Amino acid sequence: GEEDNTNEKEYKIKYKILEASLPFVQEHGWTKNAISEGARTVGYPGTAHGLFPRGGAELVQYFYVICNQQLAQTLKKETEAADPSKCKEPALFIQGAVEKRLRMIIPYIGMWPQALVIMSLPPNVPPALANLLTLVDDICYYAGDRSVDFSWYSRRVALAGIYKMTELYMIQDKSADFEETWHFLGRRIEDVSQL
Amino acid sequence: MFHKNRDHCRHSGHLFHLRTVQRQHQQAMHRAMLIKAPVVPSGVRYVSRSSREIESMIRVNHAGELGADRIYAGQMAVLGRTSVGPLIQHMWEQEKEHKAKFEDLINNYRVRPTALVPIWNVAGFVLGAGSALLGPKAAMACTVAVESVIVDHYNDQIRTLMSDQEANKELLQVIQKFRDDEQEHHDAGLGHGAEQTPFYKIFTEGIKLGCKAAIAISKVV
Repeated sequence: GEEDNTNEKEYKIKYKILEASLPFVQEHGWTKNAISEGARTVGYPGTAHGLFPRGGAELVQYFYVICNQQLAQTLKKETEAADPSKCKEPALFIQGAVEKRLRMIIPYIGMWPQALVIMSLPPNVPPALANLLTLVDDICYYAGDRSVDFSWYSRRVALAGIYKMTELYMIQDKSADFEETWHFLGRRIEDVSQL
Repeated sequence: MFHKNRDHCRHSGHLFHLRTVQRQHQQAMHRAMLIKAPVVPSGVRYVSRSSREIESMIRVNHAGELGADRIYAGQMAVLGRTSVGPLIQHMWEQEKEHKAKFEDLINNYRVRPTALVPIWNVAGFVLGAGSALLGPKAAMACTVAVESVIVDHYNDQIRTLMSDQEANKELLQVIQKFRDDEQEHHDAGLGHGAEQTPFYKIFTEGIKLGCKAAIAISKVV
């Protein structure tokens, strides 16, 4: 109804500002300043950062969510277009999906440790965990997991662990094109090969 | 003074009635809003995923059907070769169909299944076998108790889903059909002498309480 429309408008404005703030993260970090700069570029006053009571955390959250959505769409297209006879092995599929998702962080890798710290603050932990669960659920689902029992949980928890470990490895990896990280990821997936 | 008090009670009684009606209306509106999937991506759910209400419904229904499947398995293990065997077998087959349908829905609606699957598996079997060990009439009484809770539960869900019949068409059809099946099981149980079980009232009330608790838990966990 009407309330939905106002909510929708409010969300659209907020997402417009957050999207415009991402290019300023390299300079200002995941902070209210980046949001102010972004707001200015789309025609709102710098004080528009007041729309975001949790400040930089909302920017990190937004980035995480749109990356997850992009990944979900890519995985969906991949599985729909795939030739059923040449079905990719689940372990390889999962490795590819995690690599794709982590590569989305590369443009912001300099400031990513700050993002991780922000998301581990107590008020930000619930949405961070929810994002992580959505991410691993999508990857497992498109890799072909259709379980409806307890293995639904064990698989996703295992994958979440792998993703987090690889993410932490990545932020201190200095190799060319993060080669070492992808090797690390391959070894972790081998370890948990009952996925 | 006594007279004054009586007037006051009548007045507040009227107010109480109004407030209850208001609250029910608010709750109905609230439920209606919850059924729709979120319009824009919130921090947690995508547009393509179902709302929290629908997710919770599918999760608890799946838990219920898998519990029912295990209860009948337990009853068959004890009473399979007696005269009520075929009846229990027939009801069991229907529950298996219900369970399979909800497993489909879990995958289609991207619902998180209940985390307590191993526990419901064991608890259901124990309840079924335990009631069957008390005799065929007790097994029927157990069926009657469980089915009556499930019918009420499905009726509640149907009422909630009716707030938007178009969007929830598939789910409504499924739940309505299953509710009719469960009502049939309930009546079959009564028809086979459930009420002649000793301590029928306490027995069924206890089982109903357990079922309601299980439902409340699986809505969330």
